[in-house]
Amino acid sequence: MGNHHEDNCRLNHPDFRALNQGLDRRNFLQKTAMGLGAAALQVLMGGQSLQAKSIQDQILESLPKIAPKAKRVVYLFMSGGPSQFETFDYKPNLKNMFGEGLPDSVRKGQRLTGMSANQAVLPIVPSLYNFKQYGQNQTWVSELLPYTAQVADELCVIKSMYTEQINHDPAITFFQTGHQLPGRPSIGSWLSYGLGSENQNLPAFIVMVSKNASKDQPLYSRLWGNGFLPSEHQGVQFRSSKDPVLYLNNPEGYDGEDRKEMLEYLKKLNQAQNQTWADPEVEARISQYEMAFRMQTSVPEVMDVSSESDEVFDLYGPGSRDKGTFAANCLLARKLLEKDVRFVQLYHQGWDHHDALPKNIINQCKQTDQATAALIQDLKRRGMLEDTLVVWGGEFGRTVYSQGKLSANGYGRDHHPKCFSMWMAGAGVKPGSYGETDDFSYNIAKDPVHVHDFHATMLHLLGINHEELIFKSQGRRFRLTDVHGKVVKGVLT
Amino acid sequence: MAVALQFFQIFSKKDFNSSISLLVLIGSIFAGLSCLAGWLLASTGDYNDEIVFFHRWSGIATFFLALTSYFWIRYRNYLFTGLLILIIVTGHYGSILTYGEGYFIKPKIDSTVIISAKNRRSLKIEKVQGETTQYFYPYEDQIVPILKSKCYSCHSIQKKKGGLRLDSEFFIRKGGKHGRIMMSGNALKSHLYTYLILPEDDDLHMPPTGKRQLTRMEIQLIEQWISSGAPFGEVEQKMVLASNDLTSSAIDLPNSDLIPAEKQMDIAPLSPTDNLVLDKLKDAKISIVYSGAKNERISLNFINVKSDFNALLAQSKSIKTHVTELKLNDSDQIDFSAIRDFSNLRILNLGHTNLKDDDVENFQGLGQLEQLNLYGTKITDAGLMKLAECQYLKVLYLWDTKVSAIGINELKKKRPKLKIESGQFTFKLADTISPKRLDPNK
Repeated sequence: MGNHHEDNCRLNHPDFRALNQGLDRRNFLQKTAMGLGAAALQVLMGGQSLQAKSIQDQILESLPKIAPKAKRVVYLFMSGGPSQFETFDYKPNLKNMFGEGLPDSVRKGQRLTGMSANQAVLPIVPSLYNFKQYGQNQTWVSELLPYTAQVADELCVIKSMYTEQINHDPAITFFQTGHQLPGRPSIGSWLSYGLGSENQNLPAFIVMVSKNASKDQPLYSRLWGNGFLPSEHQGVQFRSSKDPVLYLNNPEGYDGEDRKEMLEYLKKLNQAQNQTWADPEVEARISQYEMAFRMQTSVPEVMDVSSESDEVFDLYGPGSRDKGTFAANCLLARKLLEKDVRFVQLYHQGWDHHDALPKNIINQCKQTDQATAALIQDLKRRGMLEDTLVVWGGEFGRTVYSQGKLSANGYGRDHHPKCFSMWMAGAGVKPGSYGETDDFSYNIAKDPVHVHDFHATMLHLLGINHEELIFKSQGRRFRLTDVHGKVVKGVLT
Repeated sequence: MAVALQFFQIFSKKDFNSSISLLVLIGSIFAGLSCLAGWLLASTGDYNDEIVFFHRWSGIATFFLALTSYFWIRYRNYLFTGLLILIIVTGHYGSILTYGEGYFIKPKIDSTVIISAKNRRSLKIEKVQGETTQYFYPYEDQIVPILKSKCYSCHSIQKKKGGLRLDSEFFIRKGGKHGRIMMSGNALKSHLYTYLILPEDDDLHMPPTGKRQLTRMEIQLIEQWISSGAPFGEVEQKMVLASNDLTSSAIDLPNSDLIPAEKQMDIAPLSPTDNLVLDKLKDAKISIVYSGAKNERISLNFINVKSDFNALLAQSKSIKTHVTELKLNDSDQIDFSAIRDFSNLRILNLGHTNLKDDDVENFQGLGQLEQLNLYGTKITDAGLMKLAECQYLKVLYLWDTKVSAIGINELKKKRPKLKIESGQFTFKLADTISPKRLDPNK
């Protein structure tokens, strides 16, 4: 009877079971001294064992079953840390404090990065760009995001995100894996492990990185790594060049039948090896080879955009015909989601604006704004926004003060982890805005949302209790949220 | 064990006396400890006095008899016979205390009671000139079975933990020794509900750890029952039948206060034959997702299916009542008449299929259908009008079809609450923004 469960969500994992079956009082008595006598007596009197219904079954029955709102996720990761001041967090009062030093009462002695810690003054600088309210929810959006503004009614803007990480690599790693040090599984890997793939011919976790972004901060493939989970759950990167997935094509003069035959024999060898060593990585290898073989036909099919109409390309904007841009990747993401890929992650770098922010951020917004809004519209009219979660955000926010002097070229902003904005849209998310920051967008004034809380909420929307998706590694049990995380009820419908 | 060895000794003529003595000594020490522990537990007064009386004295007798037989080796044969009987008697009463009377056959009794109650409920409906009055017995039909299976073992006549009994209206209203447990109309102030929703490791959580827990739906039922004023008797529900008037929303089912959304569509748990069918579908690469309190609801996704759509659809028919969601995108060979039988379907996704106007008639009888996706099909205004018959429909996707704005407006007139997503959307082109420059002197 546990089989269904295993398909749906692998809460049936032996570790999970053992943990839950932990010896309670009655269990203890039964298994020890008194148990012997009681069991004998029961048999003597011809009674059926009272505990005929196993504790395991009882636990399975009592498990809360969260009905999943979201079946798949597309996560638009704005790498570098987009400024909340020029996007979603409108702070009109800052205009009156232009150029003044940041009051100590706001900063409260918080340690700054090495880049601005030695600055004599920390001059407050308001956004140069104007804001307006859009849609029924009167969501504030900056003039830099005119297309996003047109889908404002679909967005739930969280203004009170925070993290502990102040530098790019640990902060991105934290967002993707729930820990600042490398080595934990990425969100997509957890989902692949927990929910599996609906489409058997494509990986459950697919990653694309924009080619048109300025690569000011690097990305590493470990950000979509499987950590300690079996390796078939790692994210597969689709590239914009001739081979979307490396080493997938057959070598010249080698046809599919040969390949199939070779893989059959390889599988037998691997199975023999598996019987000897029972190493889960051997099983992972077998399933990866099988997936790769199926992907030989499924990937070219899904990457082919020739059947898309001009209307669709126009919707996603001018970049969408150029393979590998953010816009083209958004279009592909929609195609992948249509094929029921569980988790699609897009990375767009170049948001790390330490200087000349007013000029650079325009470019960033131009590259991403229309395609982002188009993705939402396109999902919506296909009936997919109903069960697809769309997420937009970076790894941290930026400071209210300018890094470096104010000049004609404008200002820069340093890293700021204590508050920043991101948004979610689609399945099970309540449009509007959530949380508030203080007048300086330096501290959170209301409803803080930690990265762990964000993870817990995302899993909740996918029908998973974040406390129950567990994997045991190196002698201890791990979760995406580890020992933290609360579902943010305020953003749910 | 000692008794067994003694009997064995009688027949085999070997000497086990020393080991028998040791076993008897250990046994009697534990019997003594159990008596002490038992006495303390009984003094809380949570248990049926009469049974406690028998259990207590037979237990103490067991202890003394065991002790006597340790010292009086000569008459051990007789003493042991008495001991065996006493152990059985004590054990029997002990089991009654812990598990309740009739602990051998209890589960069977429960199910028959529930079935008979259900039969009776459906009988009593009165119709007077288009106005239907329906009578419900929420306490008897819904609450008692829950209490019986999950609470009575500790809170009934046999065993009154915390001085609380839940086996009749009087005792539920009276509460336990820590006060009242229910405030009619306010579930959040009723311990009968709040203790259920405490975290399971909380000391006050009920039922205690290790006991069978209430399912989510059962908890919800209790909450709704209390919130609706905790009626113990008959509840009358009047509703005006609106069969001619399609614009009025028929979604507000009678008695929706007492029956949670899930209950409105009662689906039996999967049977072993259902599971066989599902295994076959799984082999055919159909993606299956289970939901519901007993995993009885099934969502079928044909995303991996390349051919034989209709054969597989026909196969799925044998589990048709369980299928609440069906996704059949991107195929031009579907025979839509098969869908007619999936009576519990809530979500139906037919995007990019060979659907034509006439096929829509198959959905008119689907009483639960809430969401219908027809984007990319050949449906026209004629087919659209037929959809007005789907009374429960809430969301309809029509982008990239042959329907016209006039047709959509007509449907909207008939079904004002229906959300229609026609995908008529174009972006307002944005002006180019040039970088603003900062004037540091300002």
